[in-house]
Amino acid sequence: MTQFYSQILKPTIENIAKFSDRNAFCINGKFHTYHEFGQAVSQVRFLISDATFQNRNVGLVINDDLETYASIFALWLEGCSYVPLHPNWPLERCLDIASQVGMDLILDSSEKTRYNNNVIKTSGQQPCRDNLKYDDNCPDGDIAYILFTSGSTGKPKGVQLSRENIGAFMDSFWKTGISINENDRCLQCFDLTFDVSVQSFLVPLTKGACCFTIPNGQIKYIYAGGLIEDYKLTFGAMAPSMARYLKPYFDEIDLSSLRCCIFTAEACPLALIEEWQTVAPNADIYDFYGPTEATIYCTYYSLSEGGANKTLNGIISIGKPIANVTAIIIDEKGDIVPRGTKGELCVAGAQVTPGYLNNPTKNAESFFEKEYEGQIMRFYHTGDLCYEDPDGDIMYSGRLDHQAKIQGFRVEMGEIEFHAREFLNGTNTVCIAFENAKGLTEIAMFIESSEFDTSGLMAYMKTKMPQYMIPHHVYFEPTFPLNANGKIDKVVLKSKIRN
Amino acid sequence: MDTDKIIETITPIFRQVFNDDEMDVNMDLTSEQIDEWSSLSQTILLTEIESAFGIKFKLREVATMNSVKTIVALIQSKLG
Repeated sequence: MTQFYSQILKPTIENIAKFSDRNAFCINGKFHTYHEFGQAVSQVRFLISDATFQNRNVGLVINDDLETYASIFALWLEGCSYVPLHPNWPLERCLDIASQVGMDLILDSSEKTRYNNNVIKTSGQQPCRDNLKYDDNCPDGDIAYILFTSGSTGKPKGVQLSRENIGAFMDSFWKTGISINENDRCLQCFDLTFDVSVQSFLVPLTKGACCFTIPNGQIKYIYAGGLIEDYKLTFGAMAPSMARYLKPYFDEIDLSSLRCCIFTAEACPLALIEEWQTVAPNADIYDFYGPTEATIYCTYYSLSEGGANKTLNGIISIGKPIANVTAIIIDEKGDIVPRGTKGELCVAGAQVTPGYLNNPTKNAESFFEKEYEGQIMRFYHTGDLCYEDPDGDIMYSGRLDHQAKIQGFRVEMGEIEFHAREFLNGTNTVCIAFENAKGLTEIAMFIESSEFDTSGLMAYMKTKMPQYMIPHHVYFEPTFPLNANGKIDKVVLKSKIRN
Repeated sequence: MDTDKIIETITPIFRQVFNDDEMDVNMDLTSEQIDEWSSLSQTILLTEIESAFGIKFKLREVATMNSVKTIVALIQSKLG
């Protein structure tokens, strides 16, 4: 039996029968039972099996509705993968993705589709007989989904995740000890273009719990705060930025129903999470780390309340690898560094993607084989700078490309941000290195605040760091821009630097 | 505070946040008419309005603030 079947399809299909009257989803304020979900999967599956198409990678317009979630399972039952197409992305970008994939089928629940060729409308279907039988005869190496991320060349690049990858991920996830049952109410606050969404809907559906989504176009942190409070949600994964946006309202919101909370997708500051613990006092809190290329999460750290939590520059440790991941830290020559020495984190194992779609150059750069513990393994370069502490916990030091050489010295932006945050009582700061008109590297510091006199801050930082680490420019932003994945958008910030 | 006075105060805030020096801020203006209205711009807008009037909105109130009409009504209720 493949893990994709045993961890995902089998439990979900069983839950459709076992919990037929219980709620599987709450979407835009409307509940849908497991029976209704099973019906929607069956309907879409009939439509797919009647369609004529060659490419098994099928486009999916990711509206926030039952048909869209049902389409994912219908495609998986039919041995296909889904490729999310965001309804709010420019059509040109979506068409570029369709062209890169060579898509010849798109599933769309919209009233009026934006696409011309071979589109199946998945909404407004009639009741049908169950169509949920599955023989587990689909090869584990087949693709389950392809997510497109921004590429440095300006063209989106497709990360392919196989059935084996996602099956192994779910196995790893449950081995962390997190436990969910049919009485849980789980938050799904990520766009389906972002991989944490997959964890956020699979965790409830494979356990018979209810998945609460956020409608497209809603202001995520407000809607999520309301959902947690109104429906007494018990489990949720979110980016630390959501906690940061909710912080001004901590004195008025009650998140005490949360019993497990995962922070992920960006560096997780301890000071912020300690404040979060005061409004979510019953939650076990975890910091999960992972690039899309290694299927959602690779490592995790369980925070202890009131105890000593490991940090580096105020950022919580990303902990140890999850079950199906092997992690090493290497130097520039590719050799494993001694424990305690910083280097690039690289990961191997059943969760690592088979590669980028049609991109041999990027694949050659990003993956390498290396003997480790007597076996040849295929590793992925995460581009993250880390070191292992004496207990084997991995400390996150920032992106490799967030490291700059200033006057020949290696400078980590995270360290400067840390000292600034300390002085500013936790005010959010981002430092970005850039090349000035003379080709010299300078540091710009962005502070999430209205403008103030920075002479005190500068004087403080000069007591903490050498002169070459002191930012050359300071910019104020009332609120930091976030990208579609809820992370601080450093590309937008960098574009504001006046060179 | 009367509606005209509130609109007079929030007009430069809207114009700055949405980068439109000629924006006509009136009681019929809603988020749907402004392409640049996003979670980020709404957050900036509210922060600026809170600071201009010396008030603080609650999370539930923020959720309803998708038009000039609702914003003006909330400011009036806060100012008493």
